Amino acid sequence: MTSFTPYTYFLCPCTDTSTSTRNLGDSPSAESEENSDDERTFDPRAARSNYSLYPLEHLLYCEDCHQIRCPRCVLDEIVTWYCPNCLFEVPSSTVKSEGNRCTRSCFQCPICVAPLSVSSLEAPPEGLGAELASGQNGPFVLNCAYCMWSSKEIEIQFDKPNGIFAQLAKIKNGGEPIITAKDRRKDREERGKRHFSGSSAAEEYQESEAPITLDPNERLDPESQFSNLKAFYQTQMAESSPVSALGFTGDYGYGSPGALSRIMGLYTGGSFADKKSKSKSGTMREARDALEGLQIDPLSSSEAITKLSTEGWESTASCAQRHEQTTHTPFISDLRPIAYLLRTKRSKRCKTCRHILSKPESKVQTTRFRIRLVALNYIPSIIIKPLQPTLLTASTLLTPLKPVQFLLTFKNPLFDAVKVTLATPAKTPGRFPTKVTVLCPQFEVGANTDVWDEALRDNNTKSSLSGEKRRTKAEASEGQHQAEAGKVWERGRNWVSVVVEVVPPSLRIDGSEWLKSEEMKRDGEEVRDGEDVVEIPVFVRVEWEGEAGGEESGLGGGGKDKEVREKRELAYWCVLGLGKVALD
Amino acid sequence: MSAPSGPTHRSVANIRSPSSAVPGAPTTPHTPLRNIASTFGSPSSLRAEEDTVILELGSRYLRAGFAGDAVPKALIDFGPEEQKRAGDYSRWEVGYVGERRDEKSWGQSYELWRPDLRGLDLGLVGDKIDRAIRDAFTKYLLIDSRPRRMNLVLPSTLPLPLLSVVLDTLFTNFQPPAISLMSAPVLTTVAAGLRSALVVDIGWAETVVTGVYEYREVQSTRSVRATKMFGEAMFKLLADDIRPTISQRESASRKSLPSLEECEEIAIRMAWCKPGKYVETRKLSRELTPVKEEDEVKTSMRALSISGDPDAGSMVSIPLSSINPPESLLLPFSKLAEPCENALFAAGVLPEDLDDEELPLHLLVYRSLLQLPVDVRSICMSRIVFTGGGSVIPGLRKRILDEVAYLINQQNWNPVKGRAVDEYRSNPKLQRTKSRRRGPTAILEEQGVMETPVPSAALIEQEYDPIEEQLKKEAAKGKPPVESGHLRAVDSLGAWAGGSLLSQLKVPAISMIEREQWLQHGAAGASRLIDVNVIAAHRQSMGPGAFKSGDRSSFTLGLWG
Repeated sequence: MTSFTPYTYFLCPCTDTSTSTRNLGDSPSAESEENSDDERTFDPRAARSNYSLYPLEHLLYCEDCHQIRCPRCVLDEIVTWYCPNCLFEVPSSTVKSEGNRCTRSCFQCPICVAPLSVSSLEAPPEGLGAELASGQNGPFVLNCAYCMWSSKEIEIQFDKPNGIFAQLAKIKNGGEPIITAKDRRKDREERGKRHFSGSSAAEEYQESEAPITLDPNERLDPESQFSNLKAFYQTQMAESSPVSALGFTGDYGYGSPGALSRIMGLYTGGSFADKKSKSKSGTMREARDALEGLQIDPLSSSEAITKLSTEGWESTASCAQRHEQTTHTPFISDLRPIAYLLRTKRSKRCKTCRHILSKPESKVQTTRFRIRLVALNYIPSIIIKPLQPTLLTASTLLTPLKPVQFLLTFKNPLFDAVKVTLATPAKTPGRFPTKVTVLCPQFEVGANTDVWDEALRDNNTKSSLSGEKRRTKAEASEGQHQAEAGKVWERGRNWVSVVVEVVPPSLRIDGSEWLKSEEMKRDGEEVRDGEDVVEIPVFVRVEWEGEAGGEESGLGGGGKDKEVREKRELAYWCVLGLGKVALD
Repeated sequence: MSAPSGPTHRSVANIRSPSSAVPGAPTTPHTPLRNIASTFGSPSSLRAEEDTVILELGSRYLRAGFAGDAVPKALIDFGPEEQKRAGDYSRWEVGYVGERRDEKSWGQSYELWRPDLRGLDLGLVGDKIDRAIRDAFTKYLLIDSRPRRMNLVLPSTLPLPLLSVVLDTLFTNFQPPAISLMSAPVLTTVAAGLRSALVVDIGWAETVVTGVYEYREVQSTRSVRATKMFGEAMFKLLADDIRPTISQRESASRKSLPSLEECEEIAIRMAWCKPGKYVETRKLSRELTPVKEEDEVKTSMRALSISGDPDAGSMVSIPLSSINPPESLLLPFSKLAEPCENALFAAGVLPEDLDDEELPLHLLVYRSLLQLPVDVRSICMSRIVFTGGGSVIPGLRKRILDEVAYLINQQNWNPVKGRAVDEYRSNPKLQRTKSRRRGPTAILEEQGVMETPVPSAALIEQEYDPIEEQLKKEAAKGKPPVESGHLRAVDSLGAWAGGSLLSQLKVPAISMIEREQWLQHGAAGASRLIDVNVIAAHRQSMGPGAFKSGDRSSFTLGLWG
């Protein structure tokens, strides 16, 4: 309800709203009617419009298709992966093997997502010879400078100040070591060996290396449960479908005697051998213990409940905090530092013609682009200003049912003059229709020529068409009622302002019953959020004569390719957010 | 590995070796089978294979990640904050208050779809999915828009219109060459390391209890008592506490009531579930089971001490910031267990008054066990897998199992109940007449009337066959005993992890839809499940050559078709 900044949104032409919007249960006649009506007014308040509207800055422009391209109609290609914290580039192979997080020492605070820093628990050496001491030593912790959280709270300390990611992967909250995936694999292999070669060999092996013995009833974290399960399924699948000599699995392994006997038995009816072999062929069994990935649910959560009741709200992790964690973490003491998510630099291609629309420099530190065809450089931008200067003291809200005039300034980024045609519905769609009148729906905006060109030309002739038409402040204020229909309000080198008059709706619903529209009755009695904003859909058509594309001029050949001008046209819906209506 | 065909749930069941191993030498040494694709394919193709994306769609969240990950890399919700226009950064503003939408039902704007498809804008569903997946890909998975295979994990009863919207969106906007469909309950079973299970999915709109036997869904029952109802109960509890008078006229004072996010947060952080009232009886039944009894007894004693002593540390303060003005509520801790009681266990409602679709969870589990055939029941009851957002409420799983154990104790797998049955059981007279009729004298009487003294073959008891017994014993020697017949809960990694596991093991799903085919025919092009199943099974049993047998002439939507 405070201030309101006018905004403009552009609808990407790639969105085909008429096709897939389908309400089940709607009468089919209404649907077909809707579809047949091609020139349907775009409703900015429709639920689906949120997905196809973009600010001009988000849009790209394909020079080959001569069309606006939104994030939905471009293809991405990744240029580099990098960590936003340490700005180190991560090669794609590492991303594939290590995942989407920074594997160095970049961590976010699990409480407040601020970056964590590594610091030593011991006080830095002081006094004489401090310079000689080989840096800090002793256990290190991760510290949050913002909320003062420290990994000491979850009893995690590190031996080295670097490679925290690898160190953290070995420590549980509370300081116990995690049995790494490598150890688990070793244990699994060993068990396999024991299985094959009897126990004596295994015992010898144990003596020589003394591996960690894994508890078959331990509680596993998801990662290790997953890897145990995977190993288990792999062995089961291998055991239950043995490979025959030819490398085939299944019925067509003719090399095996079993298959032969089966073929022999094929025509003698359900033979005994067949039955027997079927019973012998091992069914893939279930996992039996934690080493195979089975986790019996302990069910007892009385400890958690006790903790909840005694420590209360403060001890529990919030939803946002849980969302960052990979495992279920009901309490703050379960939270772990979050490794930074990597980010990418992406180049974009047009989905239809595959031309590159945007390509950033591959170096992480530079922000330059090699190719950048942004829509901002191709289609006129729209700036909205109220015509009457508002007093500072007055409220910025629009008064219902009182006409207000707004100034739309179209600024042309092209080097050719463009012809703009505007079209608006007389009444905006929705429960509270706003009446809209564009006083000058057709006008021409001058080319974006060199500023000095303009100055020089200005000296020579005051051309009537593209001449300046500026108003002084006094003129503007006195001309409040002079916003003439069909005339441009103001004009500059490459910009034109036109006036649009708006009658905001009354947001009162408690009218008499018969006045209400069907929609109103259905949707209930209350003004929903967003409905008090006056948003008007405007259909903009831009026409200009640009230079013909390179190919065409090449084909045409000859010397007059400079003269070849091509008529271009671009049409799209815009949404102008003008202001909020006061509730009366 | 190449042998299985069919949908994941089927194909894994088919893993039992189809080849007839030599009877005499079952343990012929053989090299353990690795992934055939990897042994024959070049390393580069292997890398491409790794890129399979697993997507799980639920009514509130999208989970996405690569095959082989234990946990999804991205978890994206469909809340109204995610549905704003691109470039609308108002939610980062200081003092931003989330929108309050007028909703027909609680939490409607937070869900991707709802079970009731009437009036659902399918295009909007597609848009939501599109944005969520795009978000997941760019922000978390860090992949470009190159086409890659997708595995889609879906609830097993997804209406066809929704399925076709999902597939349309995926095929047109992300260009995957093929999408495999897999059903969530079966994957949950796989991710628990089991072949059969009773999957209790306490989800958003409904709780679904699915009996899975040998990777096949054999039965599914559902109840509307789920997280949505639970959240609403929590909302009512809070609203009553803030403004006991106003809450009747909810709409008038929306701003003074907590928002959905806040209710949900409180529900997730603070809600808990009381232990059942029947702990003692459960202890008795436990004695038969080999599970660590002492632990159980101890924990139940501790739980009792909590519930029996509500004063100890009982008040909990909860800060509420979404109401105007913000305030801090002081609630008794025991009160925070009430939403669970009311919403999930239907406390205070007689079981006779409940509709079929709103059974409390313990009854739902008991009934679905009851409806299963005896063999399947005995297997499933010791493999109960809880999953879904509601299952993390502390104490809930234990409570459900306790209550179910009590019900079993009371009613003893007898579907017939009611006063007449009780009377019949308790009344010795009725019992006696029954026993007399069945007694030997009765038969003697009948013998006189009818001349066929032999009852029908079906009624005769099986003749004891010592040899058969011996054979069975011999056959069972190598096999470990199967856990069955007692209640036991097993943890699962969840459906997403199951999908990731299966696609890493290269188990193909039966319903694999290729892009061209879908774009050409749409859902109408799908053939019945049975036709494809047979064809695929024949072809794929050929081994590695047939494993990638190019274009299948038709596709199926499997369960969903």
